Amino acid sequence: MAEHTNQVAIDPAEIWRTLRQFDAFSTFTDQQRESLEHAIAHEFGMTVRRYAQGDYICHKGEFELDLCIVLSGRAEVHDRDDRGVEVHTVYEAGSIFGELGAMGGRPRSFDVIAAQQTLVFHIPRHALKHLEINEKLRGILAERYRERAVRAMSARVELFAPVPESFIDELIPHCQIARYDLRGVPILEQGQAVDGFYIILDGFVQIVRHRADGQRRVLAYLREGEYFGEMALLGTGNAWASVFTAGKCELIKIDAGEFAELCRRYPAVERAMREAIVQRQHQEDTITDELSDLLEKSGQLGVIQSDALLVMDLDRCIKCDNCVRACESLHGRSRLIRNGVQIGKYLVPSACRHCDDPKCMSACPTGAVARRPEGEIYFKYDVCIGCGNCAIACPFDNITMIDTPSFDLAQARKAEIVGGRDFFRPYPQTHHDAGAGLLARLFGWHQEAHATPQTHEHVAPSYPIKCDLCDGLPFMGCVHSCPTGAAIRIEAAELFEEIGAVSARSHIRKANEGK
Amino acid sequence: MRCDGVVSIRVPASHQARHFGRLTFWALGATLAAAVVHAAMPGLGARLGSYRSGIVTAALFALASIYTIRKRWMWLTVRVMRIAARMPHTIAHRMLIADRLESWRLYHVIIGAAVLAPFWWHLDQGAGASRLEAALAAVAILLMLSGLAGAIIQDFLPRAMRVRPEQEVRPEDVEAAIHDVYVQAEEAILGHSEALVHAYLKHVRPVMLGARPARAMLLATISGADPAAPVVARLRAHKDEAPNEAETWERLVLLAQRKVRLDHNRFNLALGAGWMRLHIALAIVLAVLTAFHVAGALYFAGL
Ligand code: SF4
Ligand code: SF4
Repeated sequence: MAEHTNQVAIDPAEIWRTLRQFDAFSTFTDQQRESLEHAIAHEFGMTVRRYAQGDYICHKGEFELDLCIVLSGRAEVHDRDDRGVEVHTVYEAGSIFGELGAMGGRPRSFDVIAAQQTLVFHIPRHALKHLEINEKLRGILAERYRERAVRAMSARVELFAPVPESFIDELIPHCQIARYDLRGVPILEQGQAVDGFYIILDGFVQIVRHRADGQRRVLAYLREGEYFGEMALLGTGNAWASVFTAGKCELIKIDAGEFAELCRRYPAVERAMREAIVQRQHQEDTITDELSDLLEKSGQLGVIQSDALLVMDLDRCIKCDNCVRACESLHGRSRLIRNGVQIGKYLVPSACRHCDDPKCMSACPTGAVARRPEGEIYFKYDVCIGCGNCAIACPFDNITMIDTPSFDLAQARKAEIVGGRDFFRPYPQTHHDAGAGLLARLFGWHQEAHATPQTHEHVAPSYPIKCDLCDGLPFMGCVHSCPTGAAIRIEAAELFEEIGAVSARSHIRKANEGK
Repeated sequence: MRCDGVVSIRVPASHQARHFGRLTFWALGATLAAAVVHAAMPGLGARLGSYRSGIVTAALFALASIYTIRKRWMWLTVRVMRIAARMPHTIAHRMLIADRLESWRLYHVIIGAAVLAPFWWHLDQGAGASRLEAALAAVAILLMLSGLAGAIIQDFLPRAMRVRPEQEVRPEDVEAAIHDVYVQAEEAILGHSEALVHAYLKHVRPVMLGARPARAMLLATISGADPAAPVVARLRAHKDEAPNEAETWERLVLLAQRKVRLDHNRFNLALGAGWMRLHIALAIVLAVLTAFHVAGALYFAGL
């Protein structure tokens, strides 16, 4: 498996000697220390890396899901946050950063740059448990996560757009983070008293209204950055509709009394909430029984939670299988099976949906399943050990394990086609072949010469493959090669655009190809 | 896979445009335009002469056939994209759209229909055609007609299939569903009266194992009728052959209904694929005959 080029080989005991000087580690017992040292020696990805002055430790927008502890040196952030507020933070030895990624699976909020030679201890998401065994450190991490998450989210919640930063400062002490792992867990029950105002930090919730005639109607799915509980807060105090989790989700719960008090002092928030209430009540008239069923089914099938869903419009599809053939032609093995569930006139075939909450990523013990800033889920094959956990975890069976020789051939095929890892990223500039002749540059001949089967330092018997949205190409093979325009990649929200049942957050750039 | 109702959901604006008949429109439009050009310039054929009109005809056929290559091989696309990657963004984006297979299909249809004009001029020059040339002309006309039929099929068949209760999209899934229905029917009669078993063997099993006539299926596709309706009516009329088994008989009738509908699903899938095979076969025959024709023409020209 590949190591980071700046990785430093340090004895776990020596790392511990540095860590114990920091306040956060002051209450570790001998047993906890031993467990941590053992983890450093054996757990994949717990590494110390050296950064020279000016090196990037974190890249804004990237899903680098590890916690960073500065062991020595200094790192800095110079940026503006989402609200445009100037941020200047200095991380000295003992500073901890990266909680949002490591604990919440969210992208980096800022670039962190080494201000001098700096040693940073990286703890990947899956290894956090070795720090959290200590109560004090667990408390510190939870507290920092809460504060960072609320700040980061409040900058993105439209409701808080008109309020000053001081509002957020006052809000933070009244916030709690609530995590849910399963679908269908009730958060609010229609008609029951509501004790909080909720902002969705991650995942989706389902809004259900039980009508007077006893019918149950799914009205909408709310997602990250949206909120609920406002009707009770400004109305009777009881929930207008029931709210259920639509899968794994994380919420910020703000104490109802405190939030009502804050709203009184910042009337702009209350005004914005009242506007939202009118819109939500109107939603009840829009949703017919049929649409409600469709929304329910889409939630159950995980369609709502997809960031880049491949659908085939059955009014156009001539069943030619060209999409499958194009995939095979580009990747050596097709990653698409033209069969699956049907939603209205759309067929949702078996191909990775780049889930909002990718189970494959959570199941990977080495962090080999990663997410790009655009939202694509991809494999870092250099850290994959071929254990197959991701394939087992994917609820839609969209990952296939293939034997290593076939995998190498498929990789070589892709390399031959793409002609270099980042050939079209960012599209359309490329620099890698600037030295080649005009014809070679136009037709990319010289790149094919480099296409050799990939060799692995660590050879697993099999490797996972799945749709990576044709990473490295400016188009998606299946969509680009559909003769009728039936195959399209969309965000689930776009299916429900007209009825406003799911808000859009399209960030898969190639999904808009052809618009 | 069974239809779950028609619900008004939508996808991006780019995808909403009405498309029914779009390809047919272009195919007919291009054919008409070619006919008008031919009628408007009757002397052009003579001015071009048989060689040049033949070369233009062959070149247009060859151009139309690039679609086939593009469809089966991503090589061309990757090359086009490599050139696009060196262009300003707007041009690159247009190249990307122009290279979509959807766009290629349109070029293919338009060129395939427009070839009519030079082909006609070429025919105008060919007094005293040999058998080979007569066959070549017939195949070329058949190829164009099959293309037009294909445009109609590709435009209208998907929707005709989508409004049906059975909507399997792959032949293997239809086969699996048919097998499943058969197994269910065989299991449904276990433990029932002898009369029911006899009635099943006499009336239902032939439906389960048999195939419907292609003509009836085609008519059902065109008219939108349910091909299972007459079968269901006929089977219901035999209800009394299994007294006191009305419920099981109705279940068998519904299974037979599903089987016929699956047969229709299979027929429609075969129609889409079968037309394409015919079109490709004609194109291959045309290419072979053209090669002989060109060789002959060069030979007689003394080249
Ligand atoms: S592989 Fe499965 S779980 Fe992972 S992102 Fe794709 S569809 Fe979701
Ligand atoms: S390429 Fe397009 S038309 Fe052909 S099977 Fe795939 S989605 Fe359907």
